[in-house]
Amino acid sequence: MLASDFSHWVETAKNVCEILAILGGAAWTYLNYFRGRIYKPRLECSVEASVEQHSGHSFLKAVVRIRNIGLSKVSIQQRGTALVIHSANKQGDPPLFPSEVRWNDPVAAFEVFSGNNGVEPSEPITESVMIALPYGNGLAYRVTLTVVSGEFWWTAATIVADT
Amino acid sequence: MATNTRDVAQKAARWTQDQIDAVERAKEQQRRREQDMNQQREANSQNRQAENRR
Repeated sequence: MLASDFSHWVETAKNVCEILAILGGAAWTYLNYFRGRIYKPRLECSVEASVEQHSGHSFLKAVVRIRNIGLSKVSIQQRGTALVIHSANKQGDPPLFPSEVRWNDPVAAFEVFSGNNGVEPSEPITESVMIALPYGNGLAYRVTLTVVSGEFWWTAATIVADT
Repeated sequence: MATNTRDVAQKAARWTQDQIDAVERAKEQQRRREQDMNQQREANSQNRQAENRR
């Protein structure tokens, strides 16, 4: 009788453990795949810009980088993918107190990553763009990288001044 | 609640589309400007050659 009770309790405990293991596995799967979005397209974008002088001309040198930090391939859609330059809206007199600079509409836009259809997981892609600046405007520029993949849209921006 | 979520998603999609359109307009404008600049350079070069010949 005692042996039968014991085996019954062992069986019950085993069933409970199995149910808990299945529930734990389901929760892990839910967190990992759905909440963790590891199979969603994910890109890390960055842009570095500097103004260089060569033979009396000013050039804006931009280095754009993307890295696929997800686990699925991310396709790059050329429509909407670009390096966009905005110039600072220069007001006549200097302001009397610190005020945020306003940016004009895009003054230029350049195609980037046009030779790449997609980015494999963990793959980094870097491109450099050299842009000749107009003479002596001494403006600040906002350099923005936008990358589009289907319904997803990533941006990175930096500000550089032509001194 | 579901309607709200749908509205937000629609607004986000519209915003993304507007941004993409703005970028494409800027790219097109840039292409046209570069084309004009190249044509201008070509015309200047031809004028100079004609001057030199004279």
